[in-house]
Amino acid sequence: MHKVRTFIACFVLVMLCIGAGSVVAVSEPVTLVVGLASDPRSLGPTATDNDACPSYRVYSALTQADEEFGPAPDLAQSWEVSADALTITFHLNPNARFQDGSPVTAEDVKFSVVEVTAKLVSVANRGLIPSIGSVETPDEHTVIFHMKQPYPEAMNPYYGFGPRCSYIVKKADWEGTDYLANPGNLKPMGSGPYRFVEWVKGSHIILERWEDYWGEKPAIQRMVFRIISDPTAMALAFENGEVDWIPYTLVATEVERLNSLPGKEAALHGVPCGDSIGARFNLRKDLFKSVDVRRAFAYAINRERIPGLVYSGGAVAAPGQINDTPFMHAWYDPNVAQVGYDPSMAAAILDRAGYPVGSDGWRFHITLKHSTNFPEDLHVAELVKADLAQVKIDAQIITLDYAAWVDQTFVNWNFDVNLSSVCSGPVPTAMGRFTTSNILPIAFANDTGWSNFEYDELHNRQMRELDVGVRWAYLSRMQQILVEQQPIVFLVHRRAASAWNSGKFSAPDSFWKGGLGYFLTRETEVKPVK
Amino acid sequence: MVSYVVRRLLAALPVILLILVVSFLVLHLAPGDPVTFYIQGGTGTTEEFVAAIRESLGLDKPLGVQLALFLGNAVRGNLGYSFYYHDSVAHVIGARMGVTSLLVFLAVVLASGGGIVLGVLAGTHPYSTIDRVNTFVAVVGYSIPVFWLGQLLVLLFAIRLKLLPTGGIPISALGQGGVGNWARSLVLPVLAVGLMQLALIARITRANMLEILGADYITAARAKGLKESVVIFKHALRNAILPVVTVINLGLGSLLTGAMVTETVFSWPGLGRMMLDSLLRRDYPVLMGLLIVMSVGVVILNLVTDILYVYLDPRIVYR
Amino acid sequence: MTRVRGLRALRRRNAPGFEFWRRFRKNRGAVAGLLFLLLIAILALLADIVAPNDPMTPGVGDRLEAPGSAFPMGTDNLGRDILSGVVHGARVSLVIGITAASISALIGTLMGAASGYFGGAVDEILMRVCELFQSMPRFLFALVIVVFFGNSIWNVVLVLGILSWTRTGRLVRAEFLRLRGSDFVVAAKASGASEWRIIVRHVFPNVVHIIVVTTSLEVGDVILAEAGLSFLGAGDPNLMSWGRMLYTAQRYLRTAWWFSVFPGMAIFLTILALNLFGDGLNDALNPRLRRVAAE
Repeated sequence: MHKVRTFIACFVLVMLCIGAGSVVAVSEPVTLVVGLASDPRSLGPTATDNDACPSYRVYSALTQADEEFGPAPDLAQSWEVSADALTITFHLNPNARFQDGSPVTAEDVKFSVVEVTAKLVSVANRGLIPSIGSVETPDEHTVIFHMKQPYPEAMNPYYGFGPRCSYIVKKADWEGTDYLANPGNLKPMGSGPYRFVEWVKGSHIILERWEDYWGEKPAIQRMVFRIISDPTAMALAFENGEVDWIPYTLVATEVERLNSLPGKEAALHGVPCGDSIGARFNLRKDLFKSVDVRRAFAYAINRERIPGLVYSGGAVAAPGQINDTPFMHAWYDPNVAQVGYDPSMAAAILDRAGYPVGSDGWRFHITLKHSTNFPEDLHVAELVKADLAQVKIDAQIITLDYAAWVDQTFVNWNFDVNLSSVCSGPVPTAMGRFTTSNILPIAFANDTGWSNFEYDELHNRQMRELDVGVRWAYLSRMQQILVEQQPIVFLVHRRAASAWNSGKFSAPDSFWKGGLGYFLTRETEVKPVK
Repeated sequence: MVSYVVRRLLAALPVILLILVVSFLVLHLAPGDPVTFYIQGGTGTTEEFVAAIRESLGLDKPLGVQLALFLGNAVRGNLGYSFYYHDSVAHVIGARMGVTSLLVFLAVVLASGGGIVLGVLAGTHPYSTIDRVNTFVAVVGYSIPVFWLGQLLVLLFAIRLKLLPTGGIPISALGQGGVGNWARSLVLPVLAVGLMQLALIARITRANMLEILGADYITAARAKGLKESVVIFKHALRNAILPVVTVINLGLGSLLTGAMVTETVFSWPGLGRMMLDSLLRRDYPVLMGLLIVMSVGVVILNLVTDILYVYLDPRIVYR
Repeated sequence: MTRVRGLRALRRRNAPGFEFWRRFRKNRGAVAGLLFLLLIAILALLADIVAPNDPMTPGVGDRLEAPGSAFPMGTDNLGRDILSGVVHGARVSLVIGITAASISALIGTLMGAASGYFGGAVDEILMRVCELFQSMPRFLFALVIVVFFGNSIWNVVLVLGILSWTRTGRLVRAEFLRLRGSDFVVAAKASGASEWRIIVRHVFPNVVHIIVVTTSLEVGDVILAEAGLSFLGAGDPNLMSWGRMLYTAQRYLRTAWWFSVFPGMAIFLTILALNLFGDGLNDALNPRLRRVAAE
């Protein structure tokens, strides 16, 4: 009895402690908690799309994005683009300073773009960096870029002189160092509105508002990025109010439910990158050298049911490389469309192409490789496998972690069908993925090995063409070629899902969905709700 | 005794070394390239760039040279530099070690404490209700998969009853620190990790108590008129605890894996989760560092439990 | 004719297995475990007939349908029948469990026998090897290998089998050590019997029961390990296994509790049955054996 009583006493004591611990501290600074799915690789200029959210608050860029995804002033308060687009002049804000007090000069800008960005940001090397000829800095606050050829995307905040390709770092801190090992990657010091406070790997990142910021100070005094890798846990944390904003990584299945909660909003939206999934064929294999066989695959796969089953509506069946979402709408040609679902046609084609059903009940056996990077890829693979089984093609799914997948499919070209995300935007630059010159043993290059000279030439032309009408014609033809030749069966265009705590903070819709607020513009429009 | 300890330590070194060499070979012979994560996911980088990175990381040297360099560094305490975190491996592991250690330590405390209490109660009152509870816990607790248990706990306590947080650790910089908050965050994960060992210990303690209580010296002590509680605590318990030490010893492996899975379900920033992440990222230095830490940890803990064994039972003599 | 019957009854009672079964039967938990395992085995064998749908075919029902008359265990995220998945999963789990446990039993017996019987340098070396395998957290090693070399089911089986032999190995070794010096072995040696004959005819039969018990417990560990690997995403996606269902069910915890509960229950009950059965076997074979360090 003694023991039982002592036990009960201890239990009650423990419960009291638990209760006491949940008393919330009084007078907190205005804090926005953002949910991230994984640790960023770094907080420096190497941060990619997935990692950019925290670092973009600490650094400034030449321009940021406005609500229509056009350029708005950031470090550069004004700019001029010459008529032939070969000279771009930026006038820097003379008040701009780094967080250690030193002024931001034209030399810092030149160094950041020509040296750091060129060496660290691979996406910049697709269009921007190769187009830059030389850079002039006539005075402390003026930077002039002389372009080798016109680059139509130069003022696009995503692919041009915006936050992705022009994080401005302090030259004195970075010059001569090993950029990848520079301490600025772990403890960033930039000219943006937030200072870095701490980063506990696997747990959180804390930023605090820089009270001496030279521009318009945001209302949010503190930003905390919580790293929650399990998507269920992330949704739960948001529901419990432990997270205020989930940019991108919310699971599509939770959108409807979370949106119906009072004070919370969630939505599906398009993304600048226009993530899509496609089944890419390895044209080095004899089987896939024939367009007929590739076409048969396109007939065999039921694309229309994938968005419903896998993404709960968080995706759209793909008509081709480009679809009709806000980001790609300008370049979308509704006359371009892949063939529809017709398994009997697929079977007929395969019979005639010389692949009848064998004695083991299958026409042939292939492997379907995908990476664990996107969990939905597995489910898409399962659906594709089932569809192919219906026309008697045996497809074995091989799940690989990201590094092995890149190694096998992109570097060694060891695959039959590569179920991979294709960044189908931002167009038009992304069309370059399928060119012959992009057949390289590196990640996300042209792994199919497909080569079409007309396509190559069209791409060359459209990358320099300033006339929108002419450009549109080129792109239309390129889309058509892709669908005719079918080196890849486009499956779906993904949409991402985000959630916002509207009961606590107000922000323009375009801010918290669609990537704008994530890494292209900042919290100046975000205010706490009284 | 001292010579025994020293000999055991020396004997452990070749084992650790062998583990490291084998792991190193497995990691490096497998398909996949860590460079892809070191550079930005590799969209559009040039071949020269990739090669330059590979060279700067020393990945282009022959396997034997890499291994030698690694071992040489490890001996001096330099565990390398993480490709992904851009930080020294020792630093990265050190930062997360506390969290996992806390989890495992508390799980062991729960398992031993809870298990012994339950086992003693059941052993001293055989075939009573508490005994049935003990058997139930013992059997069920040992059979339930840790990850499923974690999910169920979250479903019940965090979602349905909203009593406890869904995961994560308190962030002290946000003023969330303090014993109360930590206790709330710890309850479910510790329970998930520790239940299996608790079940085992409860069961073994009960069995031992039953057997010991039937022994002659206990009957003699009772005949002498000693109080029952003295009989139990002074005489029986000491002997009943011995196997508990063995159980903990043998259960370290499953505790670690249980911790890893639990850290996934509850989003705890510990070594277990980091192991999984580093695997997926091919962050070789961190992986190797973790294997070292774990092997050394297990060896040392084995040694500690062996010493405890000798301390608790003077009948055991070591050659 | 009573006398004949009496004799038969007497012979039966004296047959070696009888005592064992009598003791085993008394343990209700063990019997329940055995019955459940038989049920699982039947499901596994007759999966194609018992399961109402093909577990891998998506879209037989709506996405994430709650349990109802059409689908007693509901459907999963791709509209597949969970009941069929659970039934076929039994086959997968048992195949993996039995194959891997058999591999480990084989290796463990060979190693333990060699170590215990020959002693000396052989014993030292093999025991160091045993320590090496024991020090490595088995699950982590399996994860590493499966993640790196591919997640096909045979990789999983092979890896788990090769890493699990230490327990059997140690126990077999202990028995061989014990029996090595026993009278009948010494006598057999003295009468000139070959080593091989001694091992097979004299020592081995006394070791079989240990191997059987540890192997049956090993099956449970393997099934659990495979479920764990699948839960972390390292399982074979071409099969429907219980662990893999839990892996996918993770993100639907709130919206579809049945997706997690039923497969999880299946794993839990199977492991429970295996543990009860294994313990029952152990008790029946060695009524006096203290269950101290046998785990």
